[in-house]
Amino acid sequence: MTRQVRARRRRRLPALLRRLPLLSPPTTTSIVPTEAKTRFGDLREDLEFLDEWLVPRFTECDLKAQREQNRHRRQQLLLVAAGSLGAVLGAVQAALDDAKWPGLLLSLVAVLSAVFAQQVQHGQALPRYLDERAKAERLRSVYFQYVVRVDRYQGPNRRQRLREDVAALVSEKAS
Amino acid sequence: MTDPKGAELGRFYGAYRIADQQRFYEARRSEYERADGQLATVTTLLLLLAAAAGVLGAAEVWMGRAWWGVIAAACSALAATATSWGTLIGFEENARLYKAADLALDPLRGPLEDRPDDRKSLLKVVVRAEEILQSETSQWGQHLQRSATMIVPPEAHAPAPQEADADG
Repeated sequence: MTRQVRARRRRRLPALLRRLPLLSPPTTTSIVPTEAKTRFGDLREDLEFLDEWLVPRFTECDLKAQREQNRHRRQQLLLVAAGSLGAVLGAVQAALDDAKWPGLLLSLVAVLSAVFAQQVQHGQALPRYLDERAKAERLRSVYFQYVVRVDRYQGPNRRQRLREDVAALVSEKAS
Repeated sequence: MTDPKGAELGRFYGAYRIADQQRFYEARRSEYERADGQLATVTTLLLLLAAAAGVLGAAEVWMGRAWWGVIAAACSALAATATSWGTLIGFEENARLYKAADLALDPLRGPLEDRPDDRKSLLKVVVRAEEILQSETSQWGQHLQRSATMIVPPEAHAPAPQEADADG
């Protein structure tokens, strides 16, 4: 399924459900459309250089951020759903005086939720998501600053400076 | 290497950094506002159903009180799940944030259109726009952490982007 088809299908869903992890798989995004090179011929050289040095790192961070975002949302939804299921099972147990299975199932759900909550804490999906999203957004910012030649990206060493900045940004870890 | 004219740089920045970002904000804001309205409707309906189940259970209509209790509990649990989803994404808060960022970017388009050749004003626009965008990312990150803290214990979370990143 192409990206456009997926996007069209998603637009047809109620806005409330559009961001569900199952319905929004990671997709590659570009910083500027490919037509930018023809529309701004004088910038072609810079854009090609950025395509080689910055865009692949941006895409990598962006995709990682989307994956971690989905993981984070899935985990949170599962925890909430488990809580809701527990409430329903509690009510079923109250309704069925003689049956033991709702109580046993409730205990199982509670134990599994506790184990899963521990895994969520150690899994660190949220910090990774925030870290990768921040990196992607900073790479996007550097892209535009390089093209418009802010002070940092002027002069004969501008390409080298960009390479160094991209490498520093990508290797940076959230403290 | 060719040296592009200031006007071309200004047009490029205006089209792909400012206008594109504003289109993104506008689309997300509209989606989140609709989602927030839908969430309110769904939650209200589920809670009304739970209340109705409570009343019908008290009167023991069609089935026993206990089974009406199960239905009421299921509706309330679904309402709680829907509300948690809304808190997790932050429909209302993010819609407000996107609207503010969109409005803050608006005045920056003026100098690029009025004085396309003026390099000084282009650089001023770039500095201001990047500040606005960085601030939006930081606030969005803070919201995300707060919303997740409501669901799982706080020690699971990392610093917000602006804390993780010293410069923008």
